[in-house]
Amino acid sequence: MSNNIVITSGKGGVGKTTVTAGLGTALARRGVNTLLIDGDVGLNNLDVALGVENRAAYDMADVMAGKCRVAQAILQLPGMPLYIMPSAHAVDSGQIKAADFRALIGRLGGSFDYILIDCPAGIEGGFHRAVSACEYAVVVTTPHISAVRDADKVLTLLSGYGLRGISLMVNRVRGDLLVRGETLAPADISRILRYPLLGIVPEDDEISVYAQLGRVGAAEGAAKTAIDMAAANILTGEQRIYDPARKYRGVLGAIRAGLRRRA
Amino acid sequence: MKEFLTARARRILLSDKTRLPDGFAEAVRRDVERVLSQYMTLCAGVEVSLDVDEGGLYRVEIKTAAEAIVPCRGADWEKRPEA
Repeated sequence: MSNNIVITSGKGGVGKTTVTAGLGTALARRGVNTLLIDGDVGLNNLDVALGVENRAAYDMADVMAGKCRVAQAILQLPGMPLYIMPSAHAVDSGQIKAADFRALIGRLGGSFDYILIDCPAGIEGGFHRAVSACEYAVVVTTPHISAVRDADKVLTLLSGYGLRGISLMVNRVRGDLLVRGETLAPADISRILRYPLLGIVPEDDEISVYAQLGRVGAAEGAAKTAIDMAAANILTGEQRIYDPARKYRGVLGAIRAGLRRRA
Repeated sequence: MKEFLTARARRILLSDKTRLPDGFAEAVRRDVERVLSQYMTLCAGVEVSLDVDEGGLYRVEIKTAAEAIVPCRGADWEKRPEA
């Protein structure tokens, strides 16, 4: 059976979809058979981040309605064992029942090592549908108090699902601010929220640009390195965390931080 | 600033968790100050901090200073039966 992980957040716009696409790509690059499912019915973007929005003939709702076979609604990305099942975009989110979604994930479980579900933002019905089909959750937040606050609400809800593991990804961390103590430190966020870190992803223009281009997997910057480390943590159970502040320490780092501040 | 941000985040999360209305801590502080003043002459303001520990229990810390114990105004100890 697959390991089913829901990637969630309280607040929208924290980079959940990019993290999902990045983790999926990183797992697949290691040869792990990975399926990404866009759980954000009606407001789907995972297909855009991976550049397959024009390839989808069928989607999740079609499978559930028996209009196509499961395999017809799954697209493979070139060159790696990474698959995506697009979300239903022509139906209302309420029409996809949690029990049907769980049954679908159950059917897919035998064919993949990992299933990552990109959960809709917020804590409405779509959240329950996605979480109830998984055993693990990754909560994505940014080092901003509003995002941490919403993450805390989501974590409180998640604690009632009896999941086997919950961890945090702190996204868009600026190393220069971290060195100067002008942002919440991911370690402090982990302490405040009382859940372990799976990874820290630095603010990185490159991955944002590649997400816009539909080529998240092609990004090569610091964010990619950080997400790779998080993917390795998923596989090994270790906790090797990227340090976004490293390049801003020391004499050269101080110059770099100064230049960044002026920019 | 880092400490300030962390403390602020903690405070906001605590307020969410305990669903305390605004001014709750201040109301507790005022009441504690009033009660303590019955027993001691306080020489510093009362600080009340509330936290939730990992087990979900409320941790209440009260800090103040007193320069003297005053004759019992709040409780009539002399009339209490011996233990």
